[in-house]
Amino acid sequence: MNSLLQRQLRRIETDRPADPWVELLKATSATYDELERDRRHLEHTLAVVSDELNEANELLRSEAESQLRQLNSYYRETLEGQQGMILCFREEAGDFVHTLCRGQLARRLGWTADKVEGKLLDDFLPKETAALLRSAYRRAWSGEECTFEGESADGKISYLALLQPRPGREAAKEAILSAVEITDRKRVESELREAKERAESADRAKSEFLAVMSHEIRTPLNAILGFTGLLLESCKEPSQQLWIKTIDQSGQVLNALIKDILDFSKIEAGQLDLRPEPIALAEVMQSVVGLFRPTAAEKGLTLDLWLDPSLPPVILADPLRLRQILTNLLANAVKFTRAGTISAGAILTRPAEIEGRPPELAILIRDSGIGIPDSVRGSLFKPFTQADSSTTRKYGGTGLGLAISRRLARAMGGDLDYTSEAGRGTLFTFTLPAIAAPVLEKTAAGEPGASLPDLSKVRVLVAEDNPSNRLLITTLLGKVGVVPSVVSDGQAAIKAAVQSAYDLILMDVQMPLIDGLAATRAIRAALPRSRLRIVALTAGVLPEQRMDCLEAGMDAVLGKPILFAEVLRELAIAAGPLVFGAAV
Amino acid sequence: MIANSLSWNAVTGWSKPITALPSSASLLLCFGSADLLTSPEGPAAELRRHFPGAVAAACSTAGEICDSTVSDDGLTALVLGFDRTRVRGVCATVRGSSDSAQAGAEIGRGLLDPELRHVLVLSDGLLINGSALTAGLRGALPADVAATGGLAGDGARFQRTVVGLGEKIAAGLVVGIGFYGPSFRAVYGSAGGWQAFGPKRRVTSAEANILYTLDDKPALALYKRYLGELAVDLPGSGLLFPLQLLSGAAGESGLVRTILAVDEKSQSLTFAGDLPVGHYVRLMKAGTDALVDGARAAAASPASRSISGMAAAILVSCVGRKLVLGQRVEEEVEAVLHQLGAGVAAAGFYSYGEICPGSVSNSCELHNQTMTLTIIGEDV
Repeated sequence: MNSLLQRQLRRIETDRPADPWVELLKATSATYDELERDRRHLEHTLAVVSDELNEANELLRSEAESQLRQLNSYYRETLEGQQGMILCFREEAGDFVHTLCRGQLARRLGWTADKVEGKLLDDFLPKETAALLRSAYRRAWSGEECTFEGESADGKISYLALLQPRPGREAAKEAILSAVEITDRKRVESELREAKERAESADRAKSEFLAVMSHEIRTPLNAILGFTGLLLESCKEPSQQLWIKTIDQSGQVLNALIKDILDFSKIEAGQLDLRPEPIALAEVMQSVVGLFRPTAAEKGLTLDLWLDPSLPPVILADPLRLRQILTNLLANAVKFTRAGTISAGAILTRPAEIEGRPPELAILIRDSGIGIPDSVRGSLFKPFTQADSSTTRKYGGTGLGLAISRRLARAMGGDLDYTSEAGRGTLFTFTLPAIAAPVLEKTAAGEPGASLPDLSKVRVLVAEDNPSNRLLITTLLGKVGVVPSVVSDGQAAIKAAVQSAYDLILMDVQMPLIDGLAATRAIRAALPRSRLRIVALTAGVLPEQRMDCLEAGMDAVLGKPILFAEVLRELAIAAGPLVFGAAV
Repeated sequence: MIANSLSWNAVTGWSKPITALPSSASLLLCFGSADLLTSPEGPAAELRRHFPGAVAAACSTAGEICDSTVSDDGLTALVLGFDRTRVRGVCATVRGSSDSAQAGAEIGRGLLDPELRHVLVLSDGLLINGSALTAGLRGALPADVAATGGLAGDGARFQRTVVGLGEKIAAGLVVGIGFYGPSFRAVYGSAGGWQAFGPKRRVTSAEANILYTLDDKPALALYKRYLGELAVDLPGSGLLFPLQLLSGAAGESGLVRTILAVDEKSQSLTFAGDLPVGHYVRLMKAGTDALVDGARAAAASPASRSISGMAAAILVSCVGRKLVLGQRVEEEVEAVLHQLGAGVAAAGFYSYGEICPGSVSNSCELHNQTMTLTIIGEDV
């Protein structure tokens, strides 16, 4: 029997009601009611729970969706709002298709999402640009991080892109391009480049100006010095001789000044052209010191020369520049010393290479002169500087000498420095790599003029527009019995050269109608097999100007002011091997 | 020690002739309807007169338990006589729930004595905040003295509950009975059988034991929705869905809270214990079998620690259980008695809240929706 029914029967038994049946039925009815109530309650509860769960579900879903939307729009706005550009792509059928393209830069480039996303490179880029970008895509796709610099179709926007395989995914499923605009940077770069070009062009203009000026100054100077020389030979009147010597010395100073200025500007422009060759240091030093013996003697100074016996007899150095430095240092020593001794010497300071530094020698020039005050130590090697302005007036000079010397020394791999004590004297130390070279063989070619051959047979044409220089050259040539033909422009020179047979043409470069270079080319073209020698006489002595001459077909270049010895040498060469013996 | 349980109803009168009971009883516990308890000529008064030397405590109910029988609107009594145990009763007054903690403390302090072994608490069921009451008791009682008992009931009407000590029987009282002496022994147990269901909800607005909103929605509306057609029987029908007060957002267990009252105006629910704002709660439900199993579990633990001379069991079960169990309510009582075995006089009542040591305290705390039993005896 059902346990509840049992309980109900028991209760009736216990309570003993007047009408047990009615009570039992009442209890049974209550049971049904209770059961019905429980069932409905259960169903209702189930329905409510189910509804609540649905509601919670919906709430969760809508919250999740809303969060997703928010997150989505947050990321999209960030991607689209950032100044750069983010672009994703993947390979598809041999080409690349874009999966994402966002950012302000993309918009500025016109690469809007609708134009790019889902599209190939050729769909939104000109063929050439697409090809360039595609090769960068390939590299990124192969796993290589790389950069790409590009610009908009109209060239107004430049960008720099970094391409990389998408990190954290399996091998190259997608690659990312992130770019920033570099238009401003490009503009600055271009401005800098232009500024640099302008500066270089200004520098060229300066060099040209110097070349022109030096030419213009040398041309009259050539005449001055030339005739001064002639006058010195011919004039025997002592008082006039003094005047002429003064003119000559002033002219030499002017000439040295021009050389210095040219040298310095060349060094500054980085155009210094060093020509190292084997030289006997002892000979060079003897020769330079020898130049100063007369002056030193005049001032009552002792001039000593000493040499370290362990020095290599022959070293590799540019003889011209070495002489220039020595000359400058000795000239200063003589100039600034009133009494006492000047000594010049050389020692080997580093016999062998140490820690990558080559063997080194030092040339020492010591004087007992006025000395250099400490206050100018920092500026002594700067151009146009002397120990003080009063010395400039007292001793003369441009103040370029030491500046040039130090620069030359450094260019040669050495240095120039000094120690000094005001009133006691100065010691300049000029170091130089002591690179030993094979011992020189003395050639038979001696100094021209030692035993002059007969040069009067040499047929010479002088082409020179400046009457003074024309006169000077013919006078010089006359001294060795040469009577040249003379023309005053290039056109006449060509005509003369073609009409008559010459051994040597001394050709000015800057002439009216046709200049020396053009004339030379024309002559060479007209007389292709001729042994005719054409030598430039020019005030333009910059390396490129020399080069121009040689390229035009000239054999040699003589700088103005003209040195008689050089003219003689050229005459000797033109006279041929029979006369002079050795080729030069 | 002697222990007798007996009942009274209007039809059959006393289940045992009271003249046959030994007059040396020292404690009289009467559980029944408020009217019967307060009537000067009623059976409760008759019983008190018969045992003038006994401490007499009374408590209105939502159903009386006498041995395995559950009845309504009658009276159940437990007549106890101790050999070596002293019994003393104290009474405190509450005018509102804010007096609860104070009342608990008064009871505790009033009963203090080095020999105090156990306290039985019977409290007004509507004016009281049970959580505060037990907190007050805990504060006043020594740590090794436990308190058990319950809150008075008023059927499923929730209108007027009474508690009394001696001749003073009225609403707004709390009675404490102290048991003194080294021979006295008490064991107790409490269990529910309810299961939480549905989503966790956050208490977003509440004041002490008055709950306004859950997840920012009116709490009353939620209850009405779940109760459906039974909503008209609120607050009684609210007992079908007690609240589980979770220990935290991730908590899976916690105290059970029963509805005591509803307020349509503020859309609030008043519970038998506090519901702190920010805590999480879940609705609970139960089936007959689960509740019967719960009752059995409540008895299993103390029965296994059975004491020699075990004589009487005081059962306090929640009115909510009675509502769910319906005509089968006696099944949970039978389950308890079966665990205890024969020879134990059992009586008790359906309450608006049970008091027993629990997870929070070894001394006492408020429970809802549980079967709580206290077994007392004296060492032989």
